[in-house]
Amino acid sequence: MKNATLVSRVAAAVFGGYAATASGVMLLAALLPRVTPLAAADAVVLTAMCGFPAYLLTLLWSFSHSDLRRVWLVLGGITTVSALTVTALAVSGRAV
Amino acid sequence: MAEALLTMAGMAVYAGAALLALSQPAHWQASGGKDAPNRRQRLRLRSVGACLYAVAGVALFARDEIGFASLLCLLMAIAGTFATALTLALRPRLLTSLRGIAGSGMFNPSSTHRRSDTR
Amino acid sequence: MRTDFRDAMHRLHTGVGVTLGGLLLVIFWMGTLSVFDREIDRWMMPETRLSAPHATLSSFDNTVLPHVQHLAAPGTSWRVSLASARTPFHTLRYTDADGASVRRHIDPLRGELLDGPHTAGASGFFFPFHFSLHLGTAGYWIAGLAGMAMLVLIVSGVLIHRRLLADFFTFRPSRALPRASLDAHNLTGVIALPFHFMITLSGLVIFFAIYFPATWHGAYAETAAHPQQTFNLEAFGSWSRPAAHESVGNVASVDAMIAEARRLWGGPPADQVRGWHAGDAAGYIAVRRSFANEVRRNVDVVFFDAANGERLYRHTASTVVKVQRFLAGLHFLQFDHWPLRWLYFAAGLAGCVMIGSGLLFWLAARRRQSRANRAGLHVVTAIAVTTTSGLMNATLAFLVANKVLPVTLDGRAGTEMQVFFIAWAVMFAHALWRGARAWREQCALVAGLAIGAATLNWGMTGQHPIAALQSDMPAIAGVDLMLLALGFSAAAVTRRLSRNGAADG
Repeated sequence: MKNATLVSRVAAAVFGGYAATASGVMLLAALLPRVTPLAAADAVVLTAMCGFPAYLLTLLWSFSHSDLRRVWLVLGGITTVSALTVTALAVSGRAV
Repeated sequence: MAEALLTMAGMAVYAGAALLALSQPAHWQASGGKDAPNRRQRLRLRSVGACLYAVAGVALFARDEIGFASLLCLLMAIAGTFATALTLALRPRLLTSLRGIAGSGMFNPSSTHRRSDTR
Repeated sequence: MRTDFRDAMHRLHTGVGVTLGGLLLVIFWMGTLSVFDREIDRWMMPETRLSAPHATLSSFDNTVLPHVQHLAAPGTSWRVSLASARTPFHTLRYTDADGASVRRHIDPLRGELLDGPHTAGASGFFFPFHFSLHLGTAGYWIAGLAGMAMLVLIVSGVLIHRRLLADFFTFRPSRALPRASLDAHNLTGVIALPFHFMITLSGLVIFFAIYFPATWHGAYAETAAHPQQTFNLEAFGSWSRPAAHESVGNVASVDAMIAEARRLWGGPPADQVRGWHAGDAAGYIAVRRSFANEVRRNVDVVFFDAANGERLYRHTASTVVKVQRFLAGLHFLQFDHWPLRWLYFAAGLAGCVMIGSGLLFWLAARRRQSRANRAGLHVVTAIAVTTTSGLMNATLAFLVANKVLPVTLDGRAGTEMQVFFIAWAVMFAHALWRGARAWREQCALVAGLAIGAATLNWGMTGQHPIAALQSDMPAIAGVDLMLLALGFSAAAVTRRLSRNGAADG
């Protein structure tokens, strides 16, 4: 039982955390050129650079938060919302 | 000139780190001091140490452009700290003379130590 | 700090440290060696031990261009890294008529092709090992995960350190192994903390495009058919145009292109000339600015038409990209600054000591516990030995093979690398067989191989450190002196380990 919890914790932190961070970065890169004067290339570089400290914080939180179920829910939620929003932006952009 | 500035900065960070270390009781005693430095002595050690770091910084920014100088400041501060730690581990008595910079610590109202009390 | 949070950080630090410590040590070791990769290259390639080039570079058209036109297959791309203070020769990379990638060195004064290269050298073996572990795409991701693990280790290490400032200068090497190794671990970890954090984060930032690859899809969703290409053009100036598929014989003066580029930049030298579509009417040449004089690894580049020398495109980085280039430059260390180079080398070694002493501490503390899993401990000990003394012996075996293997051997560069991996495997087997006694035996081997390698260099090229310094070859002297220093320190450690071993009975 304890090993399964550990595996789940590591999976949540490493893979769930990466998915949440990467999709969050992608969402920010999509939003910033639309709401600020920042160029698209600059937005990509800026958000990707920020992705590393963001992933670090996500890892630390995932490993220290007491409720493992909540960790999965939060990371899964961020990933889903970000991915859906980016897709919606892309689809609406092409439809224009 | 550049090498002179670098050497000066190196000596300054080593001495500065050593003074900061001496303000801690364990290292003060390791270098041969009695008891621990009192508040006035600690203040003196730390402020002179900080000044030495500032001197090193000025020398490095005079030597190089801002990017290189910042990197040099960071890495030389690390090197000075490391050199001090090794000195304390292997030859702590080398820092004996630096304790003099702390002064006698007299004229401090909170100090109850009087020279006439020691025999 | 809440106790359960500190406990979690403690378990995290120990867990990640024990699991990935060996891998991190390999990455840090290879990275530290890469600080002096060009100097080690000169040691490994005696034919490149030329004196430093003159400040005014000789004519590209006379020394390099004839070789490019002669060697590069039509329609392919080629690349020339110009001679610099640390690399006293031009490096030409091209694709030959059989489609193979070839690298040749060119004497910058006489324009002759140098013999070889008969080895990958440090820049071809240690450096790629550092960021991709010679495992292709998977290697980049494993190294990236290790980098993130390092950041986690650094932060968790600080959070669990109870007396950070009080212990700042504390190092007690004469105490028992668990205390001494923990002191060493804390010392090298805390004192050099800003360096370790900076070097790890900057290393990851270099490869942001690999580790966050989908980002441009978000930003360019509706405006570009090929988001990645558009991004590379806008951010890094990766300009291109397709081939015209008709040949043209001449190439315009590259010296004029370099002069024009330098004029546009306000004076700084060029460090690389690249050509695309060799011999084609639509061929083009890019001149890139040197990194030697500042931390930032700039992306200033000017593109010219190959046939008539007309300027096609010029790129400079935006402010945001300049930040990324500065961080990349912090890590790549391609600027000319020998005090900083030595300080980085020392800090890198401190990082290796930090990781190694952490592993040592864990093993020493574990061994004292009677309920420890002996079999598991034996394997972890073997891994620790393999990634410390074993790694050093494999590295030294690579350097010795460089001196010992005949120059005419087919596939010599690959054979040298095989020697490295075979030696490493032998070290692992030895560690599994001998257990904790392997430390002392492998340490003795380090001493022998290190001094042997320096002696071989002297024997085969006649350049011992003093002779090297006299003939203006500080790089050779530096490598030999470091080898000798490693050898004698390893001998001292071996003696100390023998005394301790005898004392334990």
